[in-house]
Amino acid sequence: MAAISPRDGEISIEVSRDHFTAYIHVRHPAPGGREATVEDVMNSLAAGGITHGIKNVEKIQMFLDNLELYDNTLVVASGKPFTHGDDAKIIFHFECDSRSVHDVDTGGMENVDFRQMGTVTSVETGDVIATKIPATQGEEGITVHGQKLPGEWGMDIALVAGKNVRLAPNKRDYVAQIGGAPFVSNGVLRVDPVVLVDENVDYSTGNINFAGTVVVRGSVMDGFEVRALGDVVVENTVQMARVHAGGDVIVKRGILTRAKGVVSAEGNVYAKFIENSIVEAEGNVVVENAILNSRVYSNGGVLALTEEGTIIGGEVLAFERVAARTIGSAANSRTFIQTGYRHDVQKRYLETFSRLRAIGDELEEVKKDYARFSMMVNADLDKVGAIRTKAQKLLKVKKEIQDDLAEIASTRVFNHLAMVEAKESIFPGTTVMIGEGRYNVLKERPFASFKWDSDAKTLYLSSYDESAKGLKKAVPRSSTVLIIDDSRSVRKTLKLILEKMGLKVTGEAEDGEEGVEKYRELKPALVTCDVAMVRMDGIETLKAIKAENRRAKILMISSVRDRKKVLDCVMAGALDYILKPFVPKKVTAAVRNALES
Amino acid sequence: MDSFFTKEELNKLRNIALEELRELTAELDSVLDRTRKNTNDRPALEEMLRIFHTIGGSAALVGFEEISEIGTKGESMLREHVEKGQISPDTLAAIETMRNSLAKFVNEKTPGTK
Repeated sequence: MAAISPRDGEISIEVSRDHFTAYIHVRHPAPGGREATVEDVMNSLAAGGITHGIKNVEKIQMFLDNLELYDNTLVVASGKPFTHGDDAKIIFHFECDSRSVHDVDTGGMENVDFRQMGTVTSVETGDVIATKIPATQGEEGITVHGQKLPGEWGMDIALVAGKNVRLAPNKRDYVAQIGGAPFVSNGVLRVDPVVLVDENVDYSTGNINFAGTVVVRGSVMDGFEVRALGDVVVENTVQMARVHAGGDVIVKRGILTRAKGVVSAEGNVYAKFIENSIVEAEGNVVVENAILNSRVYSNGGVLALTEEGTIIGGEVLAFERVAARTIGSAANSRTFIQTGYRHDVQKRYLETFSRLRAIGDELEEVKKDYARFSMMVNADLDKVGAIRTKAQKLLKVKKEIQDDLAEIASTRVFNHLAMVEAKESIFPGTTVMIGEGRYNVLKERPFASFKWDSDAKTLYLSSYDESAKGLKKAVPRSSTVLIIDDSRSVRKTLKLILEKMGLKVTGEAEDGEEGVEKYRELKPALVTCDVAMVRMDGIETLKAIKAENRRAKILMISSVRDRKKVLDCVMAGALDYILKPFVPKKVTAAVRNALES
Repeated sequence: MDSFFTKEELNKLRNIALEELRELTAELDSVLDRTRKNTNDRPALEEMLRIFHTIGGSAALVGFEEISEIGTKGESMLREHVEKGQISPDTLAAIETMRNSLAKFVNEKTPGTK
């Protein structure tokens, strides 16, 4: 009978999903079998098509000689990952104002430098005013199989050649087609002819109506009007005047129209402050300081987010967002904030609705008169007839208004992402409306954020995830956490993550026994607990805490190896688990879910 | 991890991890002494297992990949021996090599250490 040869040492190859790393795993031979050799490794690699980035023979031999140390696994080949190229960028050859640096969406306006706003420079016909540096492609990579992979392209950037600007044949240079002032707004580069008013717009200049940009070095005085197809830049103030821009309105100091004038823009309105004024913008309204006792209407966002940004009194309507450091005041100023509808559509809707209601009331009165007169024995038939005719006319008008209202309602689109935010506080006296929801603020709310939930038909008020830094008020019990882990490093890392979420770590424990004692003492809203601990492991700790309070919220922290124990913990009442090494995003998600559960 | 924490915060966490690794190395030395004298000392083996488990976890959190690998490998090697209640000379030698790598890492990373 032929003898069966003992099994020799075996090599298996594993390649990472991205094909940039190859591993070899070595299985020891059966007794009497031959150990795997370098030649075996090289043959296996060749059979697996692995040709690039292979470690040198000496390293492979060292691995084979020290298998225990390497746990029988070695990274045997490394490819070269491809790289990402540079993003495209735009170089402006003129002094830009803040609008061209920051994307004019409501998210980027917190850092606008108002001192740079409305900077006007001059270009000549034919000047190259901007140049696009295109995105580049990154370096090519090569997998362990020798396959070349092209580098990734950087992100492109869009800049539209707007009015009086053309793109050169090289598709990179933007050229001025007229002499004037270049502006960038909402991703469009244009050149406006500019008229410069050296001092105020007043009796010396008369009203101004210009098919370009108007720059006023002084103020726009009471009773005067400035209209421009481009921007209107006012270095000082707008008094009781009317200003309208086809582009943006920039008022470097304040708008003080005393509710008689109106400042409006088909773009955005920027001002240092707005007081007792009416302001309308198709885009955003952004102020550096305050909006006081004004009516401000925007089809974008209304923002007062720099350090003193506040909205006090008046009414503010925006389609997207209203955000300020504070809204309302400690003196309970009546302030009305509404978001979610375009202001022009909303105004028409409310006015039409009022008219409908008024007609309805009038019709009721006429009906009562008709009923009264027609009941009389010697009723004046002419009078009754006149009342009937009036009622018929009113019904006709009512029908027309109802049709108008239906038509407006069809264009009255609600923005489900609309929100209202007070980065520091919102005060009593403020009313917030989003969609159908209405909230009257009855006490000061720090870090308030309002959103509308269309499914639940509810207006939600929530707090920001602000860092605990600087908070001097008492932290509610609902945000306290106890950390139980025998590793100081894990405790400190978790603590930092939780504090950055705005939670307060009220206690730490090195083992289960200490953890249970601290739980009794501190009664935290949430406990995080390591699974593998020496003195009283995770599951015993969990059970002990649950015995104190069956509603205790506990998250287990464990390594992958302890998976079975983790499942046991979940069966014993743990809410969830976080695997080590943990990623902050997963920790914050698990903690949030646990606290909200 | 890096983009969640600032550079300063990450450095602080790494320093805490280094301090802990230093303490764990010292604990490991003490346990290794006991194990050299008696390779059947099960409590010592369990303690060694716990030390490597902690090393693996702490190091991985702050990006000390090399040490995390040592922790994981050490833990993996020791599990089998803890169940048997005995450690082989080869495994003990491998553990000592890992201990030396750990000590070298901690010394190199700690400022002011030669």
